[in-house]
Amino acid sequence: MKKPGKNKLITVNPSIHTYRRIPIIALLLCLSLVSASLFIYQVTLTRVFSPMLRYHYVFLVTSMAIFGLGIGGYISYRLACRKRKTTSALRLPEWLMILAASYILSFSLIYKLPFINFYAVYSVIGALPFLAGGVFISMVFKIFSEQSYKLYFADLLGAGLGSVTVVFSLNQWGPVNTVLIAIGFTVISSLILSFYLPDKKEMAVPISLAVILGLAGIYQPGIRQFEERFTGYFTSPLTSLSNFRSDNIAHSLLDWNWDAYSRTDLINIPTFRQGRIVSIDGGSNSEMIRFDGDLSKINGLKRDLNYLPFETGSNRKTLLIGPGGGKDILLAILAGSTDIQAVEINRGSVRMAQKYASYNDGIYNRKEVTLHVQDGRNFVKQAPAGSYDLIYLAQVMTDATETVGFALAENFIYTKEAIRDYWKALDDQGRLAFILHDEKDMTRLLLTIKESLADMGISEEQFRKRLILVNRRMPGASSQTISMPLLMVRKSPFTSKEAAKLFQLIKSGRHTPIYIPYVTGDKFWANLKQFRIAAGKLKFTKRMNFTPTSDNKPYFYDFESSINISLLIILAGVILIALLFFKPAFRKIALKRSPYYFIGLGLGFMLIEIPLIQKFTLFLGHPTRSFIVVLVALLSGGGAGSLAGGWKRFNLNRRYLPLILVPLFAPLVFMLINTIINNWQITSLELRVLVSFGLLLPLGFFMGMPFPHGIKTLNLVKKENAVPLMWGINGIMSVGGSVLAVIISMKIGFSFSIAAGALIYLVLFLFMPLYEKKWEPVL
Amino acid sequence: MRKSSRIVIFAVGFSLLTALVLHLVSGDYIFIPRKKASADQITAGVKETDNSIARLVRISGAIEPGNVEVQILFLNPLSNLKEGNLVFRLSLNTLNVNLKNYDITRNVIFEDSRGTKITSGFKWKETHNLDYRHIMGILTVFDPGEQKALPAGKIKWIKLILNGIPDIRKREFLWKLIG
Repeated sequence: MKKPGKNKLITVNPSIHTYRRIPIIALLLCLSLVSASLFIYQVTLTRVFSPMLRYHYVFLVTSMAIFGLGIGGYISYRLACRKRKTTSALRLPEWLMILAASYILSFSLIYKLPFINFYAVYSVIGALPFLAGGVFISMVFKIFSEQSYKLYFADLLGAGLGSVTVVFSLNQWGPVNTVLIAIGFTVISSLILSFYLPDKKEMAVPISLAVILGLAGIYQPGIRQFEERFTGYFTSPLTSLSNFRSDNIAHSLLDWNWDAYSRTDLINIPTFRQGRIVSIDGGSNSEMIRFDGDLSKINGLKRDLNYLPFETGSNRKTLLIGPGGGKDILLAILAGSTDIQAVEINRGSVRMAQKYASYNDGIYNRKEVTLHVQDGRNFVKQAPAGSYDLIYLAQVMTDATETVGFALAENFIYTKEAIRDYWKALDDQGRLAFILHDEKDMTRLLLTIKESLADMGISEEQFRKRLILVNRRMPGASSQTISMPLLMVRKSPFTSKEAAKLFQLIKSGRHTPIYIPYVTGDKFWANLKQFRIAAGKLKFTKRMNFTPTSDNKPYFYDFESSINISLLIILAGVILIALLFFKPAFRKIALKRSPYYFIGLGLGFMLIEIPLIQKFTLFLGHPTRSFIVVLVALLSGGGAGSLAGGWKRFNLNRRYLPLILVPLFAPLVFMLINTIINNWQITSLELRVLVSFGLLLPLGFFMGMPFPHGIKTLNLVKKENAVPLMWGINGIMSVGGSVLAVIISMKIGFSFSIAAGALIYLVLFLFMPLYEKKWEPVL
Repeated sequence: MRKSSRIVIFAVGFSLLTALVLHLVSGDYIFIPRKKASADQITAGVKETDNSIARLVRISGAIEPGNVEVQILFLNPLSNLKEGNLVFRLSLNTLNVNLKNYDITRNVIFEDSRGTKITSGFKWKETHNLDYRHIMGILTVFDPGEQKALPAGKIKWIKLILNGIPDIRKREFLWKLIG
C-alpha cells in the first residue's frame, strides 16, 4: 500500500498538497467524528420532526434532507472542476466549520420557526448540514482515495459511534444537547485538521466556536429553556395540542420529556377533572388518572367500556401492554388484580407517571404492579404458557416515527404470530382484550385473529363462540359510527347463558353490542365478509388493505392497498437527482458501467439493513435497542471488513468475492434469527445481544468491503475525480434503498426485501459493472 | 485574511445570531381559549371599517351543539364583490365522526332575501384536513342573483343551510344586513 505523500496528484486544487501533512490516524479520527456527527444529526432530526409531522412525512422530509449528502458529493466534484482562486476555495477544516454552522442554523430554524405547511422547506433546511458534510467526506475520499479501505473503515466506525452516542444522548440530555455534541465532534475535527496545516491562525474560529458552545452547554438552564420553546411543534396543526386549540378546549402543557424513542408531553385540561393527558409524539394519547389511593373515588371508571373486559372473568394475573399514563393499571386494580405485569415500550410515559407520582399515587410503584419497559410482544414470547387471566391492550399504537421512519414505526403486537403467543400465554379461561380506534383496525384485527386461530385448528364457528365486540356510545354520535370499540376473545367458548348475561351487562352499561355469540350480530359476519361494517363506512375497500398481518409484514396500520405517495415521491426524487445531476457528470468523465456498481451497493445495503433492524426488534425487545445493536454490529463489522477488503485473494478472475458472500450470508442471518425467535427462548438480554452480534458481524464484515474496493479501483485507473460522484450517487441510492426496503416490506414482506438486496449483490458479482472495458490493460 | 476564512466567520456568526434571535422571539406554550359565542351572538361579518359600507352580519347558526362543531365565516367585504361569487370559510371539527364521505357541495343550500335558492354548482377548496375530523376550507357560491353581485340595499339577508351532518341534520346560518 502506498504511503501518503508519495502519490502523484492529478487534481486541480493546489491546496491539496498541504493535506499530505496530516497524519493518516488524525485524518481517520476526523472522518469518524464527522461521520458520527452526521449520523447523530440525522437521528435527532427524525426525532424532532416526529411530534411535528405525520410519521410518513417525517420519513419523507428526513430522506429528502439526506439527499444533501449525495448532492454534497456532486458539489465537491463541480468545485474540483472549477479553476478557482485559492484564496476563496474553502479548505477541509473550513468545510467543517461550515458544517458546524449549518447544524446550528438548520436546527434553530426547524425548532424555532412557526410550523411551515410546505414540507419541502423542511427538507431544504434539514439538508444544509448534509450538503456540507457530503462535500467534506467526498473531498476526503477523493484526496486520499488510495486509502479508501481505511477511510471507509473510519466512516462506518463513526456511524456506529454516532448510533450509540445519539441514543444515549437523547435519553440522557435531550435533542439540543445532542446537537451540541454533533457540533462539538465537528469543531474538534476542524481543530485537528487545522493543527496540521500551515496557517495556524485558522484555528481561531473553531476555538472561538468551541468556547461559545462550551459555555452554552455548561449553562443548562438556558439549554432547557431553548428546548422548552419548541415553536415548530407548538404551532403544528397535526398534534393533539392543535386539536385542543381548534376545539377551543382550555389546556396547558405541564411538562415534557425527550428520549430516543419519543417526545412525551403531560397536558392538563381543566375541564377534564378526572386526570391529565400523556401524549406521545404529539399524537398518541393516554390518561393519567388523579388518584390518592382511595379506590372508592375512582369507582366511576367502572362505567367505562375499557373496564368491561375486567368484568368477564378472573383478573388475578393481568398483563397490560401499553398502559401509558397508568389508567389501565387503575382499572386492573379496581377489578382486584393482585399480579399486574405492566409492559410499556415508551420510557417517557413511565418517567412522566413516576415524576407525578403524588398525582397518581405512584401507580407504577404499587405492590401489585411489576413494570417492564420493553416491547409487549417480546415480553409475551418470554412468558410461560397459561400465565395470565387477562391480556389487555388498549389502543396500543405509537405515532412515534423512531429513528428510521417507517422501518420502526410499526410493531409486532397485532400479527398472527402475536395472537398465537397471547393465546399460549393465557390460561384456559383467559381473555385477550383489545380497545381499538375505529372500524378499520377492528376489521383487520378480526381477520388476523380469525386466521391465526384457524392456523391453531379453531374454526370460524368456534371462533365466533369466543368473541365479543362492543361499540362505545359517544355523546351525539350516530349509532352507525364505530368508535373505540372493544374486541375480546376468550380462550374457552362462551356458553349461551354466559353470553346472555354478558349482553345484559353491556346493555346496562349503556354500551352498544356489535357481536355477542348466540344473542346478536349475525348480520355482522355477512357484512364483515363484504367489508360493509357500519353502514357502508368501508365502501372504498377495493382501495384499502385489510389482509391479516404477520411477523414478516407487520404493518398493521397500513390500510392502503397502493403504495404510499410519500414513498413514491422520495423514489422519484432519487431518480430525478440521479438523472439531472449525476448522469451528465458521468457522461462527461466517460464512465458508463462503474456508476451502476455504486448504485447497486447503495440500494443493496439498505434493502438488507432495514428489515434486519425491524426483525431484531422482536428478538431484542425494544426498537431503540435493535437500532443500536444492528447498526453497531453491521457498521463495525463493515469497518473491519473494509480494512481487510484489500486482500488480493478476494479478487478472483476479475470478480470481487465478498460480493457473492453477502447474498449467502444475508438470507442465512434472516433465517437463523427467525428460527431463534420462533423456537428458542433466550431470557438473558446479554445473551441476546451477543447472539445478535454473532449473527450480524460476519454479514457486516463482507458488506463493508465492496465500496472501498470500488474507490480503490478508481484510484488505480486514475479516476480520482469521479470519487465524489460515486460517493454521492451511493448516498442518494442509500435513501432510495431504504424507501424500497420499506415499500417491499410493507407490501410483500421483510424476507423479500432481504432477497432483493441479496439479488443486487449477486448481480454485481456476476456482471462486475465496476470495471469499464477500457480499464482492462491497467487492471 | 483569506476570503474563505471570512466566509467561515460570516457563516458561524450568522448561524449563532440566528439561533439567538429565534430563541429570544420564541415563547412558552400558552393557549387562551376563545370566548364561546352563543347562538344569537354576532360572530362573523366583514372587517370593513368604513361605516358607509353596509355589511352582512351573521345573526344565527348554532356553532356548538351536536357532535360536529361547524363554524362559518362570511369572507366577502361587500365592496369587493366581483362576478357575484360569495365566499365562506367553513370549519368542521369533531372528535368522533369521520367526515371522509361527507361532500359539502352536495349538502349545502344557499338562499337570499330575493328568493334565490341555489342547490348546486358550489366550489369547495379544502385548506386543512386532519384525519377527516378537523376540516377547514373555502366554499364559493356562484352567481347568487341577477345582479351578479350583492349591492347594499337590494338584499336583506343571506342564508346557508348545511344538511346531512350527523346528529343535527339541518343547520342554518343566517346573515342579515345592518348599517
